[in-house]
Amino acid sequence: MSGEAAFAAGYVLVLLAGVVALEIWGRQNTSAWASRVFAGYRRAVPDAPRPADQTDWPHSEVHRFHAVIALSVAAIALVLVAAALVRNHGPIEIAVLGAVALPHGMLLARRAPRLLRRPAPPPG
Amino acid sequence: MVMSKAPVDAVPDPAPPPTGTRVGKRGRMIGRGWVQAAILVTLAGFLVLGFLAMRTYQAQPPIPEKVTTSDGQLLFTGEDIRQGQEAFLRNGLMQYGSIFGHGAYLGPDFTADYLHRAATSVQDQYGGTEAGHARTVEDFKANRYDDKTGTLVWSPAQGKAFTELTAHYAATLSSPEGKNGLRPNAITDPAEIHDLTAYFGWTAWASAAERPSKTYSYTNNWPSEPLVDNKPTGHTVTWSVLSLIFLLVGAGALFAAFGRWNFLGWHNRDHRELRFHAPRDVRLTPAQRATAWFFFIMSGLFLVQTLLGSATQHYRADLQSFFGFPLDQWLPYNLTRTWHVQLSIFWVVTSFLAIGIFLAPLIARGWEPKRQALLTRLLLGALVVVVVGSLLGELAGMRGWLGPLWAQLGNQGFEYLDLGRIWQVLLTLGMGIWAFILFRGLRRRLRTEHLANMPWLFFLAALALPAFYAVGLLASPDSHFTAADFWRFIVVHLWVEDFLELFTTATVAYLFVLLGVVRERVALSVIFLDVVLYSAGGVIGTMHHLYFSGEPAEHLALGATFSALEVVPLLFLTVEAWSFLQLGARRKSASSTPFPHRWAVMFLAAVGFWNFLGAGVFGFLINLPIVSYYEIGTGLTANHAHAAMMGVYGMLAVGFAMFALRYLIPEERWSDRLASISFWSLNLGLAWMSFATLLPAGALQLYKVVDAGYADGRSLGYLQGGTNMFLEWLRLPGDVVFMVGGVLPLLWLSYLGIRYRSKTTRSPEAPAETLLFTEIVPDSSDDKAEDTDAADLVVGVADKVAGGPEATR
Repeated sequence: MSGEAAFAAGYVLVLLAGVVALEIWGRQNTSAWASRVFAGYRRAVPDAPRPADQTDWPHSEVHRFHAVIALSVAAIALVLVAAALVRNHGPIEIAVLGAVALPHGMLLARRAPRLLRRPAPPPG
Repeated sequence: MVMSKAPVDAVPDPAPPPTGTRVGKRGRMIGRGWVQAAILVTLAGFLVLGFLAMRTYQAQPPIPEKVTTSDGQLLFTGEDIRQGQEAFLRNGLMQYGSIFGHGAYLGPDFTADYLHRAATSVQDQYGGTEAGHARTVEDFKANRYDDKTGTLVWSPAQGKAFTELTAHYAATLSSPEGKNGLRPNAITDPAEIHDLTAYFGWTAWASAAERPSKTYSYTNNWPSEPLVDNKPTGHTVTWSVLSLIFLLVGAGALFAAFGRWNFLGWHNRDHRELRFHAPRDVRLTPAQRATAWFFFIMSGLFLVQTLLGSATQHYRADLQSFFGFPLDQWLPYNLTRTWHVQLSIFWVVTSFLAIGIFLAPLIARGWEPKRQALLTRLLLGALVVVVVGSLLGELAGMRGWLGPLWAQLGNQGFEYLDLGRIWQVLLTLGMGIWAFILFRGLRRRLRTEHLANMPWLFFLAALALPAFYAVGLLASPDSHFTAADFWRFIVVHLWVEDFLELFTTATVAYLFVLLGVVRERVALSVIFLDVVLYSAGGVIGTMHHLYFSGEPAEHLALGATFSALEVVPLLFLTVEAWSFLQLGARRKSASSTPFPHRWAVMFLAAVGFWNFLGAGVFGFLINLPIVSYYEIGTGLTANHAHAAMMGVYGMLAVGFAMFALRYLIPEERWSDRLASISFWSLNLGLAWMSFATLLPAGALQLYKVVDAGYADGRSLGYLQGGTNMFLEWLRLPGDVVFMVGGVLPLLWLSYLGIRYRSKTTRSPEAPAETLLFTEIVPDSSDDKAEDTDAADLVVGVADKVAGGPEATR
């Protein structure tokens, strides 16, 4: 297996970790009133407001933004694998690069249509 | 989001001014501790910075009066070295390769390149690797500079290497074929080549020769070069570990403190209600209308900058030609990169200038002095003259068309401070005039405000921009490089990362206050927090750029420690960024008109993302001295630079434009779709640029440097290698998305801003609610609503409803 193909495979795995991290990051509750960081605030406030819902704008955009970036990273991984396969297409290289590309492909096929179908929530 | 109904006549009476304040002047709205902390931390930071500036001059590598061989042959003089530096800068070589690791990334690092080639030659003269290694190390490590006579003595073998390298640089820099990124026959004068070689040789000497009474070189043993046993020093390793500890402790302490105490003063449920006016009801002042041209020019400069960026990038993918066109004859790499870098500052600054002028009447409650629009248009004209003049000057300076005026009218040649001195002075003056325009517009309001309140902070943050940009004037082509680099990074780092950041925070905070999404007290706390945190880390943290450019080890130690702390506010502000919008609490507008600033807010939110990823993660990735030792000047620096500069300041500049264009473009002409396309394309294009090319190519290059030495990793041979070229080409789709989908829609929107902006302007007597799209109506239980700018608008609304005078003015 060539060094270039090995590097591409390794990097595509790193990108997969990045995609997962972005997905997790995007699912965080961004309301300060729900954050553990601001526990002291909540204790000091007798009439604490109800934390914002993840569907409230602009919090609703957080997940969408991170999901789009995550999917674009998955797309980059697929393009990288495709380009690497053009240059390195021995049987082992095809197997390894195909294997590391698979999760990205599945993620893209599963998440992208759902994201495109769901309309962007309007502010208000 | 909670919907609260509130009668507009429920606005409480203005509170009496606090004790000790003049009647009619609003008192300080934030605790004295915040102000004291901000002043003390800033003063402490600058005190240490002053000490480090002094140490720079004391400990920079000496420029000898003459360099001879031990058998008496004169190789070159101190004047040759200084002339060599000027030739280096005049010919734009810092935008082609680098010196002491600073500069561009296509050409070699001339310090490392000379050191490697000279050491190879000397080792060969001494009989090869086995027999010659020890003597080679001794030749380069021994410091034979006598400061009494000003003479530096090299071995005859080093003298011979100098002669060989003079021929080598003559061959590469005056190549008639080009094909190396420079224009064909770029530098043909033998005297210039001699001086350039002397300059490169002197920097290479400083990078290997041990400082007096130290066991490491003037550059803390940078670059990594096995031939002369240049390895990381104890300082480099120790301070890397300690800075990591400081980062963990600093982040932990900050989060613990914020978890324990209510610093920002959030109090309770926000009962205010937001209503949005129809855009046609909003009236602009004449100066606000004039900013349409700023945003159009900003977008035009942005487009040109990206086109030049793509040409610059093409050189890394294909040195031979630009799809068959010999681009290097007309637009060589060093010129396209100079323009690309300079325009990145110009277009961002254009947006910042415009948003300042746009906000001033909003802060001044609708008042605008006479001839403010005229001054704004004059400023725009001056800006165009400086931009066009400086860019043409850089072309003329590099081509040698300006003779002895090259540094004044042409290019001074320092990366990011490339523009000629006259243009640099004019740009500083232009920003000074802008601050004056802001002062004119704000002066009525400033008279009624405490110095620690938001209007003054906004103005002072603006005033800091010309003041700290002017520091760059201390670097000139005839300065010692180490000292010049110190002042250069005061602009590149401190001006950008601290003062542009401060102005940004003040501006964004004010926008949110005016839009009613954040309380003025909270915004004020955030601004002071920003001052404290960025001053604590950022001022001294500037030194992280200067680990290896001839500064003593204390710069490395303090730079590593404090720049690690810079990540703390980035972490904190990222956690806090989304909650900054609407305080994270549920609140709903009762307005039937939708919130109009969706895309401006989205761009500002994208800033939070890129601030964390581009500035925080990618920045910290290369920040530790031990990483920087191998990494400086490689693709990972470009990765951080693009993700942070475009991701943070670029997105901000576009966000500001989106905010103002929403007022400038009539509702029926505004296109949410174009704004959306621009937003997603810029973000996806930037992500592509980073993840497809800059990050993997940078990682591979870092490996090469660690494995084979710095000179090898930076060589054209490595860059033109198969895997690197493959990754460079992968960038193409993302760049196309960025330019076509991101920049062109923005240009079109800004064109609509000048083509269709309303001719009707706001009169000074116009009601307050026609200032903004947003109107904030407080609940009767609202506490201290009279303290806020938003409340000022509310009072104006209430007055209008009641038919009374504008009591607050």
